[in-house]
Amino acid sequence: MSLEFGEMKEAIAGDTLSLSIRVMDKGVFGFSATNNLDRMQEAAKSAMRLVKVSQKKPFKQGLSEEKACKDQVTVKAAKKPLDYSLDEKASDLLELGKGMKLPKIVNYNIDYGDTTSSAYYLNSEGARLEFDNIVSSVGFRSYAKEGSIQSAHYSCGGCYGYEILDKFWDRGEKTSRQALELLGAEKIKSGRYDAVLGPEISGVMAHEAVGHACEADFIITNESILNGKLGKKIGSELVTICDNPTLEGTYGYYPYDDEGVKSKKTVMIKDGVVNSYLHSRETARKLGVHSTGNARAQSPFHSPIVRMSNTYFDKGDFSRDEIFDIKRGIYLERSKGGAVDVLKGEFQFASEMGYIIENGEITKPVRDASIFGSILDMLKNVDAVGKDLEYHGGGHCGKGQLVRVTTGGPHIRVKGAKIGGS
Amino acid sequence: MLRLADLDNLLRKAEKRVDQAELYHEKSSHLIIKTKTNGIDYSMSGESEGYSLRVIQNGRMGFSFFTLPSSFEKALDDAINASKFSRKSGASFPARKKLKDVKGLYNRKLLEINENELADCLVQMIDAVKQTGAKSTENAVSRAENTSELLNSEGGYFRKKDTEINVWSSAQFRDSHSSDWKTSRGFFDMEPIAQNAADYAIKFSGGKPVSGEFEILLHPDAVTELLQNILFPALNSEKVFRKTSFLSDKLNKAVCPKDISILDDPLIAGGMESCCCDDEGVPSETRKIVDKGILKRFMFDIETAGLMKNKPGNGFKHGFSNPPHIRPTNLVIDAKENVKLKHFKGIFVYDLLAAHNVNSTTGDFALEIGQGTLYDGGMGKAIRSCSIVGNFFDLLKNVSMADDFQTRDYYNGPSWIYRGKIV
Repeated sequence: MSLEFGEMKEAIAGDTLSLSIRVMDKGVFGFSATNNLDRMQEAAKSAMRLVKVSQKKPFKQGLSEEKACKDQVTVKAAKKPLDYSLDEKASDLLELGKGMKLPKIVNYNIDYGDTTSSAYYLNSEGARLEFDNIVSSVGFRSYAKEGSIQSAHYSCGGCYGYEILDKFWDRGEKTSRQALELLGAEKIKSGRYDAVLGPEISGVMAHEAVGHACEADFIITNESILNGKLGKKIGSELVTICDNPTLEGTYGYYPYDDEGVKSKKTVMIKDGVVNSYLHSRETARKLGVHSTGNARAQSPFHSPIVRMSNTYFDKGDFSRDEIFDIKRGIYLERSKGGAVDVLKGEFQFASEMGYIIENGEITKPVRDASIFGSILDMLKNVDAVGKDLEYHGGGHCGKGQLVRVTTGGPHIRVKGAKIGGS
Repeated sequence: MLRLADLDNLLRKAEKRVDQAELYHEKSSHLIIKTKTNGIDYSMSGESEGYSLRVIQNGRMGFSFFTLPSSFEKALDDAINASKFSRKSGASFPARKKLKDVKGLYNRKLLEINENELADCLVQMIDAVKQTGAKSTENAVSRAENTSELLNSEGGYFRKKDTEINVWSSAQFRDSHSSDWKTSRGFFDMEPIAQNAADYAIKFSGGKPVSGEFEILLHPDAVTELLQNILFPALNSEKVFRKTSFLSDKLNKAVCPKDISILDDPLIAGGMESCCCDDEGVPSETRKIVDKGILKRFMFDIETAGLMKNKPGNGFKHGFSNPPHIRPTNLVIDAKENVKLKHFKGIFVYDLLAAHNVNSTTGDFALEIGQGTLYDGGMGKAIRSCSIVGNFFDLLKNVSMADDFQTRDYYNGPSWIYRGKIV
């Protein structure tokens, strides 16, 4: 459902059903999917035919040995979305929108969505899994105008129910206030700055700069800057970065991955040292290790590949005052996302909103600053990590397929970061 | 699968309960084969079929989708219910009109090529990369056949059928990783794609940062990143209606040099975004968005056209489970004066990292150059670790077009040249 400037704009409802079959023969794969149950047999035949195509000149992988699990998991929701009518949801969104309507706000949107799903996973090794999930998300965007127009956004989501509106009720008004603040923000002059990254940005850094480079499908093809770096120190000892799909309620939560492997926490970087890559059963087999339970597919129409889940920069010991103790620098607070070239080891994250730091104090607001450069240089230049770990869900990671992810982190400080602005 | 008569019966059922109704049916099948380093990694196929329903009740539109025909009654209830929570737009589904026959969208021969032949082509691509000294990292071919049909209560009807093939190749040379790709309606020689990927990987390896003001040459792939993330949202009538588009008050005003026109043309034979009508049944026609530098129109679907009393034609679905959204078809850049690239000196930008991070409201950008080189009549030494910064609408006012007109999927135009800042 979406709301725009005080009135409901659109509502969509629907049901889908689909299935896929993956077959392995002599270490290579054939895959087929359909959303027509009358065509299941044809899908299976197609997968069998395609495995022969793969065998013409195989990039042989096979699958690592893993326990065949049997389980049923149901996500808990305090308020099941299907128990609430569209009328009730529309009424709540309209009420929520009232808080966003502030002077100089010329438009605002709220996009709300919930999905209730059942997924079944079976394989020939005996795995039998059932996962009943509920995912809710809400996104806010506000436009402020005074001469120029500026916009601010916030999105959030998790594996829980309609209680999402209670959790994030105040975010709508905050988004409008931020758009208003952006009216007075200027672009910062490009250059090198000591930078404090807020939890949204440090989380994106953990995901983009480190998480992607640890995905073992990039490792086995020698496409990652972290290839061959297992056990080696690549950053400051303050840097610990993890991926943990077991965090219940988060947007990136899953109990078993899409190859039926039980999910678990993986510490990718521990005290600045590369500790583990992220694996599917395919990449684990190739490197002679066990899967970390990170094989995910966007839908049954996609084959599972190595993906992150809830990726975060782990907390440290620094207080907020200690981190902001900078003579002149920049505080990047709100994230707009990022991207990385894992081979060159270069990244870019964009910040919607930030501030100049002068003598330890936050002063003027700045907008549209980006931080970019070398992953390894930045990890070496982290010199303070806060205690205030926060998670931000509601985002999707694109790697040919979209999957739900959460990013997280505390405030961290990077010396001499490359900042792009004006 | 439901036949046309079955769809017609369902539509009649819907008509009895609402002011207007529209039923959409889509079916597609695809084959994807991928290689990783020196072998085939995956061979995949898929078949998808689904339906969507739109209703208009009391001037408000409701949407629902389903995959099982037996779910129709529930989908109708859902759509009627959803319509209560939509804005009143005054939209009406279009009546049946004569649709132009756009040639070259369906190629039966493409579908006759079997999986083994496509796999052989990919293996040849691996070999083509090896011969250059670069390493093949990934090659992929994706082939699809799509059909869609729509009926509405005003007599509107269309049936569209097309084929497409998408070939992608990536190669690695030392610290450099590059790619090339091509889409088409019919089969083509795939080896040059792999050779280009390898050639780029070699040319973009190494490199140092540059900074300062330069003449900047943007490859069409970098141009389309900016178009998709800044220009298209600004031309979207939803944003114009709410006056949150940078271009809201620029209609009939100059937005780029007067020798440049920008067209939205769904009638190009064999075009990747060509069609006889949009996904709401509005007949296709060529439209000038910018005429000799002057902004002449925005893009509308039937809902925003109803709100703003304008002509629809840009309502396109992204799969049966999504309602139509506004987007252009084939974009054509028509420039009367072109800069000869053999005389160009400056910085060449092949692609941009994270172009979705631009400020689509203001047009401001600070984007890392994914791959680029110095340029002096041709590609020179690679550059790295630097970003272009600026504002797209300022760039547009002062842009020049190069003399290398090319078709890259929906984009039909040359590389762009502007004077800008690199940090």
